[in-house]
Amino acid sequence: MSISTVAEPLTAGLVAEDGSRVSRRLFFDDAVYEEERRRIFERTWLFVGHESQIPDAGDFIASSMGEEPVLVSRGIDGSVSVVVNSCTHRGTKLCDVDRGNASTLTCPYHGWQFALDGRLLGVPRFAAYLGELDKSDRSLHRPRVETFLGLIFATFDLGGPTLREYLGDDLIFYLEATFDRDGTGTSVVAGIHRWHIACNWKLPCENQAGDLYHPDVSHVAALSLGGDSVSASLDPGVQVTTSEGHAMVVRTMPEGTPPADLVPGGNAGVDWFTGRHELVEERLGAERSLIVPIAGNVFPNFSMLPSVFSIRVNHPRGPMGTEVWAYCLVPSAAPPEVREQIHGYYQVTFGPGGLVEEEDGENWIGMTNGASTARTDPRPLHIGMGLGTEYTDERVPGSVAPLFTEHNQREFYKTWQRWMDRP
Amino acid sequence: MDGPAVTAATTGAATTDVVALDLEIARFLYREAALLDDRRWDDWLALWAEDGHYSVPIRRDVEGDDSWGRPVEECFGGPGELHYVDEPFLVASVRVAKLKTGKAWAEQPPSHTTRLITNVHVLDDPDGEPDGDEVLVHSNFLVHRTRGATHQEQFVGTRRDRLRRSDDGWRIAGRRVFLNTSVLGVANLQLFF
Ligand code: FES
Ligand SMILES: [Fe+2]
Repeated sequence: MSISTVAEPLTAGLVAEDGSRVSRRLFFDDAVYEEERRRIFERTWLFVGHESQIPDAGDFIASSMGEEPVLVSRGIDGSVSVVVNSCTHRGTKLCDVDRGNASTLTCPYHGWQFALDGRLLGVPRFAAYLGELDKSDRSLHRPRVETFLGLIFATFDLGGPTLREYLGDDLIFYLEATFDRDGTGTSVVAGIHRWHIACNWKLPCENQAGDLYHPDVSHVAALSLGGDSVSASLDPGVQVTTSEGHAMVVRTMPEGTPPADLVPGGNAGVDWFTGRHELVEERLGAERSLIVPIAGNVFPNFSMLPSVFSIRVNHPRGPMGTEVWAYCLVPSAAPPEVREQIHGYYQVTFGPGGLVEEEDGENWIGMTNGASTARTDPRPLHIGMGLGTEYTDERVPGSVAPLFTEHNQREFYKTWQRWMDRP
Repeated sequence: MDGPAVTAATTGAATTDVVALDLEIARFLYREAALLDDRRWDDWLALWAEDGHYSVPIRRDVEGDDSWGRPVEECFGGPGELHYVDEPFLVASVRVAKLKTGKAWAEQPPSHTTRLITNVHVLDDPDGEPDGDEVLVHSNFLVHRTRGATHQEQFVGTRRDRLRRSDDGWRIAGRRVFLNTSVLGVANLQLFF
């Protein structure tokens, strides 16, 4: 027997090859979580904010990449920087507010002063270092940053793929239909819904990747007040997983569908959206304008709920904790009254006080508790619905499956396993 | 800069009329809290004015925007900004209807709440009409919520209520709830403050 120098990762084989079975250890195990931090959150592209949050030079927002606190800012030249929010002297957290506008950041401990892009500018009592401190060697740690359609992503992997490569052309096909439908882009409403759920971070992600199995049951109370069952309101829809393992749920409307039936969600701003249809056709092409995005997840933890005008990040906070940061997304061109309708519709249905969303967190807590306490059952968890039903369709790029399957969940966990296995 | 002027507002000096009004309002708010703790939704809804408005804004933590001396309402997101809740009172009756279905699973079985309401006093009302029938009221709260055998959480904050005198007692015409935390430590806000 030869001794391998590369140890098998302790997370090997936790997801079945076809994705239909998943170990309970994914949802509570400290050792698995530590590996995730290294293998996923230190290597993938992570959403850190939206360009509309930092319109002017000097604007900054606090965010996080996995558990790592970062500051996202706009430079004088209009570029976006991301720096780790920890002083390079002794590690003190530099900034404890959510947002602001500044030209420099001063550490509250000994007063080292940094530019927003991370350069170390000033050190009190510099002479006492006797010439041994090289300021250029002590700038703030800087992940790589790229933006796409207003979304700001960053990664700690300095040599990995570009953001476009990471997203993949087939996902970009849907992202354009989500974030730039009419060619004038999208922005976020000021303010973030932030709340802590005692659940593993993967559970909200795989839910928003397209768990259409749950709403008619989980959300029955809210749906009973509003009329339609989910199955009726999403027909005809499909689940799609793209080449890089990202998930979308979209409605695929037939040719000749009136523009009023192609608007993103609810009744908010219907007339205005309908009036924009020509622009949408021009931007997306007639065929793609028939695709209406409902939900999705960019691996690992950036989720999209365009049907209720929301984007969110499910930040990991330990193996059994998630901090959701949810934003309300509006078309940049929307007039104030449409903006208000969209904002109101999102707020009353989703977020921690949303009539629909209130039930979700409770389920994910239950799943996390269940996985961590009921350990004696040797059978892994079951994600088998509609296994083998996936197909391809040139109108909807990616691997497609009917709505009521667990296709996107299986693919989410397969993607997870691939990243965990990657050396 | 000069410190704030020492006025009746800061010393708490008050006439017996004002003290009596504070007590009357406190008594109203205590009874209202008991209705919520007892889940007597319809009786609670009846305490609202039909044009009432209920909102739970989000605290802002902005650089250089320290809150010393600033009224609490200026430290939270305003109109056009995301709120946890911001809606006409009529939506509260939809929320109650949802609870009553018995299928709002995050409240099934129901949680148990205890509301501590304190520091109740009537404020000078810059928007109030002299001798009008409305008062602006400050109160603090601590709401303790438990669900199941072990799950416990608490909410602490301040409220600004606009109460209106009617023929059969006070009505809530507006309530703004200012929670201390800007990241909620809870899975849902399926309760009223
Ligand atoms: S830790 Fe930041 S200056 Fe010393
Ligand atoms: Fe849900």
